[in-house]
Amino acid sequence: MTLALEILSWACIVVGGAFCLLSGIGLMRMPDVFTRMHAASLGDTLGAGLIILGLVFQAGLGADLVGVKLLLILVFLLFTAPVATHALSKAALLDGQRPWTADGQPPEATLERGDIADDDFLEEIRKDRAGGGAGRAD
Amino acid sequence: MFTVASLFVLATMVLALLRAVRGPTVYDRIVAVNVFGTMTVLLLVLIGFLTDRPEFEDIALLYVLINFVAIIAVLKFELYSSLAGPRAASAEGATEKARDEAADGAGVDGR
Repeated sequence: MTLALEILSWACIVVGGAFCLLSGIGLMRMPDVFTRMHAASLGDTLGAGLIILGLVFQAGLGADLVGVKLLLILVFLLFTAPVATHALSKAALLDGQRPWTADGQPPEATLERGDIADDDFLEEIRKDRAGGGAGRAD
Repeated sequence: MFTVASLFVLATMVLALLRAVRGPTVYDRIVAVNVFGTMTVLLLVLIGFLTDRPEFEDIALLYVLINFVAIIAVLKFELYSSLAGPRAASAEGATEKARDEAADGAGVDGR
């Protein structure tokens, strides 16, 4: 392996590990569920992506399929992580969790599940999507 | 270099576990478990390179898929109190039915 490839691989793996650590720190320090999900997505995309890319530089796409398996792991991670995050945020929103805004913690931070039908926050979202969301694909 | 990255990943796993223990809501714990699963995959891949045993990549590949299915299953169970979905839950009683209809009617993606 050439020296340049070794240095590139080293940098990718260490920077990816640093991004993983940042995601862990964000998971501890962020104030509510939605911002914690934002911190967690850092480790899912940049952390895992850079570590696996660096390992692919180490292994090469040779005949022993190690590099191919690594790329397969990365592809599965990049498909499944956004789906899981979307399902998680939707479940949290339907359960009555409200995101923090620039004003800080929302006063109605936790609702009962029965109150969802006449909830102002979800009503606003529905109005936005009915009125201003004409250009969206769905 | 593998050792440095492994230590970073292990530190992240410790932080995720702390969040899973402390998290005020159940969703905080699910986020923490999701991060823990991703870090497990990365640690398995790194251990495969550290000990020069390529079998660990196969195990990591399996863990990616199991992690995704587990998160979706736990979320579904948490939301509907049943792994079969809203219809099976609504057969259990009137209060369950009303709650599920409210949840379906409030779906933010306009279904």
